[in-house]
Amino acid sequence: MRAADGSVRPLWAGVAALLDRPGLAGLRSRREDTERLLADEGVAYRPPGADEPQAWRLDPLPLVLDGAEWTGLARGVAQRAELADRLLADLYGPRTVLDRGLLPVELIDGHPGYLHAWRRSVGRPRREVFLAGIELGRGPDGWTVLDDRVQAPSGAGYAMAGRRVVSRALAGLHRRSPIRRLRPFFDAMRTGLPAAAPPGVDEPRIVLLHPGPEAETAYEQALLSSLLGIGLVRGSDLTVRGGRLWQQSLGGLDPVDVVLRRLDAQWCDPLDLRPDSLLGVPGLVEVARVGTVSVLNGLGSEVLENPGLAPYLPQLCRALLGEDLQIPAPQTWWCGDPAGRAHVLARLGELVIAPIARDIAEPVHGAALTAAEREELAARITAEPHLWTGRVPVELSTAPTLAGDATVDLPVSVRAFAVASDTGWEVLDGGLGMVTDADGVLAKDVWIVGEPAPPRPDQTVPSILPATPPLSPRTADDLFWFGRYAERAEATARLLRAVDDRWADVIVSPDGAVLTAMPTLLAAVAAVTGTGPLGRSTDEVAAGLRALVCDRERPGTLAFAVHHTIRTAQAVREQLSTDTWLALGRLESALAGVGEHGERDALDEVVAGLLALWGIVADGLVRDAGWHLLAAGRRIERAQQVVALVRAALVASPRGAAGRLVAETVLIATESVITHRRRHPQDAAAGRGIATVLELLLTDTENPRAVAFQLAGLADDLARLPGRPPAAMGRATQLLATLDVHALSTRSADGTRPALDTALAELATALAELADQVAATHFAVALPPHPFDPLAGTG
Amino acid sequence: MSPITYTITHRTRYWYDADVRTSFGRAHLLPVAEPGQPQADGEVVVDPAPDEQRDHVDAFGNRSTYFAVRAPHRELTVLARSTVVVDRVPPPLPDRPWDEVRDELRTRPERTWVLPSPRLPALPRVAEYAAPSFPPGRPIGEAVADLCSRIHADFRYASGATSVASTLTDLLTGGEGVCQDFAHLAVAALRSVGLAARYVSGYLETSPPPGMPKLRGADASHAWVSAWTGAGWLDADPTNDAPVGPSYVVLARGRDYSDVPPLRGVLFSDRATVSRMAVEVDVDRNSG
Repeated sequence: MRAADGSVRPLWAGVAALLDRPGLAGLRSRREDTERLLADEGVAYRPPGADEPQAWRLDPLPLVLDGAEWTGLARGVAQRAELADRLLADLYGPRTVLDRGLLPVELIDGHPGYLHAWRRSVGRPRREVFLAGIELGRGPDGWTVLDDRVQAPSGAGYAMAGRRVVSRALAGLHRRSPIRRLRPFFDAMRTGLPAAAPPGVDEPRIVLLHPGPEAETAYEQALLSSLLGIGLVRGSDLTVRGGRLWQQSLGGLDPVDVVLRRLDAQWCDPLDLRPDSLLGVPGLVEVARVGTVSVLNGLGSEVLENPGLAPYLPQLCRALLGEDLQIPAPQTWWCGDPAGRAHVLARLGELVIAPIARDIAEPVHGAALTAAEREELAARITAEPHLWTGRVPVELSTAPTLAGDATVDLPVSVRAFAVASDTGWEVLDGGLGMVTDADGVLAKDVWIVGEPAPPRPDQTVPSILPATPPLSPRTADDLFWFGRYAERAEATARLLRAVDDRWADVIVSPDGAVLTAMPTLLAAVAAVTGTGPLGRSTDEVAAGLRALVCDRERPGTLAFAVHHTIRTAQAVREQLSTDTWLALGRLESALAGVGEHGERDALDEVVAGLLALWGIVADGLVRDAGWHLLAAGRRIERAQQVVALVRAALVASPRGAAGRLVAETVLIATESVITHRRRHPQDAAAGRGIATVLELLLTDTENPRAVAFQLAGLADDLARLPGRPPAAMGRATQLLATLDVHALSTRSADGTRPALDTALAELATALAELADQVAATHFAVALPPHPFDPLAGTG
Repeated sequence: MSPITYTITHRTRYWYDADVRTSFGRAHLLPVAEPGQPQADGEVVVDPAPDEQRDHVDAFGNRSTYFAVRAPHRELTVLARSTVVVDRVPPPLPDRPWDEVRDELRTRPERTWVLPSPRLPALPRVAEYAAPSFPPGRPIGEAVADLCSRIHADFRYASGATSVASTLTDLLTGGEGVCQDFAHLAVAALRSVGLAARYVSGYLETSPPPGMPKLRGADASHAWVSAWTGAGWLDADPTNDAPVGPSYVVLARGRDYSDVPPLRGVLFSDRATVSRMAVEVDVDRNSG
């Protein structure tokens, strides 16, 4: 930011002024704004091995780069992407660079990322690199390439997410600064994807293949899918038939022409690559080889994530492109070359030692090793020299970064991105800045300011992408369960709130009726949630009720339902509006606040958050097949919850005032108490039976909490989906139509209502069958692939 | 020597304990013509009939067959039938010093066959085992023959001692194995001294004991090693300590078994597992 004499560089004047003006408190609030915005957007990252996604870490202070300088750098990035594409085309085709001795064979055939199955004996060269990530750093001698990400590079989407947040956290400065836009890069991606389709395909169908919501960068994969308007699929959503690739969708099979892949190559096809992969598509290598589908980047591209190439790239660039390599790498020696090996072994303590492939070992700075470790490393290098490289460490330029109440200058690198559009390479005017602080990697937004972007050829963003990508049975399944879990969370929160209030009455004034009603209510809670008896003593019950709110691990609790609501939402992130995360974030923070504010406030807050969620579902989502499945899940769940509660609470409810209290609690928990009072003002006083309660909750066609109302809505939702309505629908409707609420409300000699019990048991069975049939009709169970390999049939 | 025509049938059958919905397979069961084997034809027949079946020549020059069976099935049969004309005569053992060949390999395209491969990582134990066969200046043919003789003498042939997943460490520790293991050891040993070597999958004609009829299905697939001699490839059979002559039929060549398994696949099923599996091979010499 500052020149050698301490003065602020003109480029950084805006940021410097920002740091001066609001003072330390202002900095803190910038950080808080950033964190809140990231949480609101649900920007997440899951470190390898972590159970849960974590908040993505972003520094509010951008890295500012000069436009004129960037324009030159961007040309170098584009050149490197082109070189990677041409080099791969040669390595998987005629392999002339190996035959001409421009590149040692060990560096390629000895790299685990070189896939012989990807070799192409005949046919036109295919596009090998569509999206390249190139990690840059500025050393004392200018910009250098620190790393190549050419397999399935992540980060461009995060750069966009970071820009959205920083542009709001630093809204004033962002508006005043002439910052180049990121959007044209994503538009270029949209034009480039169809252009990469196999020849002769007019309206290519494109998917983004990813490992699933547990992936490290699942957030970004969903973001890209929505930015590009292409479906996010997993291996189990795809199938190979008749020499081509298909996506399984609710209506059947849709052809796929282009796969933008975020799954590492080895996992893409259990038939021809790793046989133990459950994430891939058997036959994908075959159809890519035949050429009916384009897989981007090419399955063999990992071989170029290879620091050993650095010494050879200048000559390869001249040979393949006829030009000089624009951005150098730090001086690197490949140990497969005897002179290089001797140099590296002699200077082990001064160099950064990196294997040619990432999964062999982490790069280490020789200076950080003990003598014994250095010896061990030297032995590894001597045993398999072709796997190792040594390079001169680079002293990276620094960028101001917020740390507590101050700023610190930290070494910074930038991951730049180039994408093959239909008119050539388009480089993202920005990138993913990265610094490392005590807590790990922190991202920075990268602002290119000053000189405006060079004019681009006119691009018409194609409208060839279907408005709504087909819905896969797996996504349908997740949406259905999203509806179910969210409704379950609401029902559980309302029930716990109603019972909690009664429990509070017991503590404050333990009068007769509420004491008599309490065991029935607690038993109902245990039965409806399926969590087992709450215990007898006051302390046990209080602890049990609290656990029903907070214990995330136990099925049946509120926290469990909320957790699974969020998980299923994460699995279908690309289907949901970004506001959804505001509402879901509220649920999480409500539960996290139980310790501080008590569970009663948390329950109110959860109900409010769910109401917000339903508002977004009602107003923010188009009525496509996915929406109807979400609605269907919610309706079935609500019907089941009501049936379970009525059965658990009213079959064996006590007589008299206590019984009325139980019935009223059921009405409160089902949000129907006001309607009931308005319709039957004299009921409570007159001590009439529960017929009116049963009518309102079971057979009423106007109360949205009633089973009959939900079944009618469910029939409408299912009618909008392909396939025949499930048989259990008719059975449930018929059962409901024949219910006689007066007969059901009468008690037998032992004081219980056996007819009600039987009728509700039948209804519960019909609803469970209905749920199963919806699942069987619409969500094909993805079977896991099993490898088979003959026993040694050899002599 | 007049050429010999072989008819080969290689039948692999799987029985499953429940319905399999889909099977995808990849086979290396069709021989290719090459020096010593001027004609090679064949077909792969899958039962139930596959929805899709396709052959291509892979990166190593082998014929590779892809198939997908979509009819639900509890039994899968893959039958390969081929006819191969063989006029292979074991060449005189090349006499260039092996270390000269090794040095020359530093800049030759065959260098790729010196590198470790998926199933054959570089192991110090293998290098130690190989060393005695490669004193400086020894003619390469003699060195390869010596290595094969030593493997034949040092390890016991034991069918079932190892599986397709066995490693060289298993073989070196257990002291017994099958042809695949011996071929793997020979390949890795040659690579450990810097020579180029390939794994060869194929067949060996067997003769019944004198006076006995030949039993049906009793032959088996076989595997051996191929070494670069500086002027060409020399095949050798460590399992039988024999030169590779007219009773051998080449199916495929790769870096190791993983490049050329006769058959591998992926199936989709709720719960099926392979309950039984059988391989029958017949290598018949056409009379007349």
